[in-house]
Amino acid sequence: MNMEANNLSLSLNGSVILRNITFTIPVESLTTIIGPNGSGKSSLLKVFADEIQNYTGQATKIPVKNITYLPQSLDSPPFLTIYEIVFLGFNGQKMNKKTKVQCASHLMEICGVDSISAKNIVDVSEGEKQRTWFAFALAQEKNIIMLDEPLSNIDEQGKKAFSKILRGLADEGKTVIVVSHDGDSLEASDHIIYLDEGNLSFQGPVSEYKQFLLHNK
Amino acid sequence: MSRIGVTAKYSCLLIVSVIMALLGLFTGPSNAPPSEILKLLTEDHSNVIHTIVWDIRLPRIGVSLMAGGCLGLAGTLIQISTRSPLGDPNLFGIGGGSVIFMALIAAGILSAGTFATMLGATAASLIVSVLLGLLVSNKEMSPIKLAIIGIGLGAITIAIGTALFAYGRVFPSQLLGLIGGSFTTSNWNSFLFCLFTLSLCIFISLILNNRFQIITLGDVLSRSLGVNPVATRFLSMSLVGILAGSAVYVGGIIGFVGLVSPHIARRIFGHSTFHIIIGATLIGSTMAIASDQLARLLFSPIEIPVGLITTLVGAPTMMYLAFRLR
Repeated sequence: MNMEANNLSLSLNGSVILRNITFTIPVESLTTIIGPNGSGKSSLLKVFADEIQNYTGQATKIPVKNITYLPQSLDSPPFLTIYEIVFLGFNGQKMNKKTKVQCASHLMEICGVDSISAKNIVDVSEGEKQRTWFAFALAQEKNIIMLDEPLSNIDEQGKKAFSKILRGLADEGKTVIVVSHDGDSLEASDHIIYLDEGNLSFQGPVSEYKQFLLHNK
Repeated sequence: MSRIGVTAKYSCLLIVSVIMALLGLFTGPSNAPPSEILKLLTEDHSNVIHTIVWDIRLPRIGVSLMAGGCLGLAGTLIQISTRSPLGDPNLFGIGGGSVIFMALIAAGILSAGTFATMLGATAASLIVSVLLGLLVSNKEMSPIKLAIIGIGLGAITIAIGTALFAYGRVFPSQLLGLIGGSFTTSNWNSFLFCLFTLSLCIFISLILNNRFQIITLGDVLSRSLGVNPVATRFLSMSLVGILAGSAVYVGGIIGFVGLVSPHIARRIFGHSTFHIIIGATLIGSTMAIASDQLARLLFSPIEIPVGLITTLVGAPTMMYLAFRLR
């Protein structure tokens, strides 16, 4: 099932967030939603995750428990270590504890937080926090993955590595949607959606998006 | 963390509690020799020392252990539910709900038997804790905002309680016992009541410990992991109400035990919610019984409210935590 929006409009507290937008996000692919700050990208994810209800028009809604969803700027839980957060990502999955422990260590290694796994998340840098949340997201076994600015505080090298991981997830058959104001995962994406002040300026494959950029400069 | 390490840590806490309990049993203003007290525990005699040991000292030991445990567990649960490291059931007015109910009875405005008073005091705290739980579910509520509102709520409940005491012209020592915290009126009924509520709440907390850990991730992530944060918080805050209410019924307002115990437990047992639940309960018990020995013996035969001792330890700890808060 593709994720779709049809004449979707949204206003919050009197200001217009999304203006009558229509688009389709193909399944089993990596889509990046790009746009300046305040263009309505995060709200769009919230509509899909059924966290915002008062919109007009139609949109595909998926209960958030069926999505791996990372909202933007997560509050750090006060009492959890990095290892525990990653471990909680396996919650509800049918595997024994030993396997979960092994998988969690593996994920922490991939995301580069294995050396600080025993630290409380409150005490690490913003980049390390994002790496932890990324590992937490990877731990979840869901077919739809929606990440809101997951790489904004990660260094260039990390951005490349994580984009590759996202690419891999799409190749495995997952539907991955990433929101990013500066297009961190652009190169790895199949599909681009460009939002500007709530308007849909572009949707289509990456190759066409590059043309679109050339014409609009 | 190795199993032996955990066992050793639990054993240490138990040993401290037992030493404090022995202090509570063998010392006091009556100057009964230890040999006499030991004989009484094995044989039955009906004299003054027998009454002091069986009806005063032993129930007091039991009640202080139970009440401390209640506060330690309540503190853990309130910090989990509010995601605030400054959470404390008595500081946030949950114990204060119970104080108002007890003041209504002391002032003669309400009348109730022992059992009805126990239930009423617990229910009054339950109301405050559930209200506070609803506030947390409000999206605009940051942990710091909530802590400030909680402290305000706590001050209001104590003010109302004190006003009711003044209105009823109640003997001031009774007010001091309730607001300052005291185990002087301990009896076997209050021990059994606290034993029951504490066992029930520990049992439920241990079953739900995974859910409790998940709600500290925040509401959206909880839902995404399939845990309903509002219902889970409602449940944990209800347990806080029951625990704080029963602790106030048996010992009045004993401040900061709930705030400090989970932090000490985290230092000792790491971050596993399962061990923090058990650890904080034990630390609460140890803190309460140790503070009570100080309260009884420091200026013997004059007793000072046990809440003063716990505040002397707890308030600086809170300030330290506030400094470290980001």
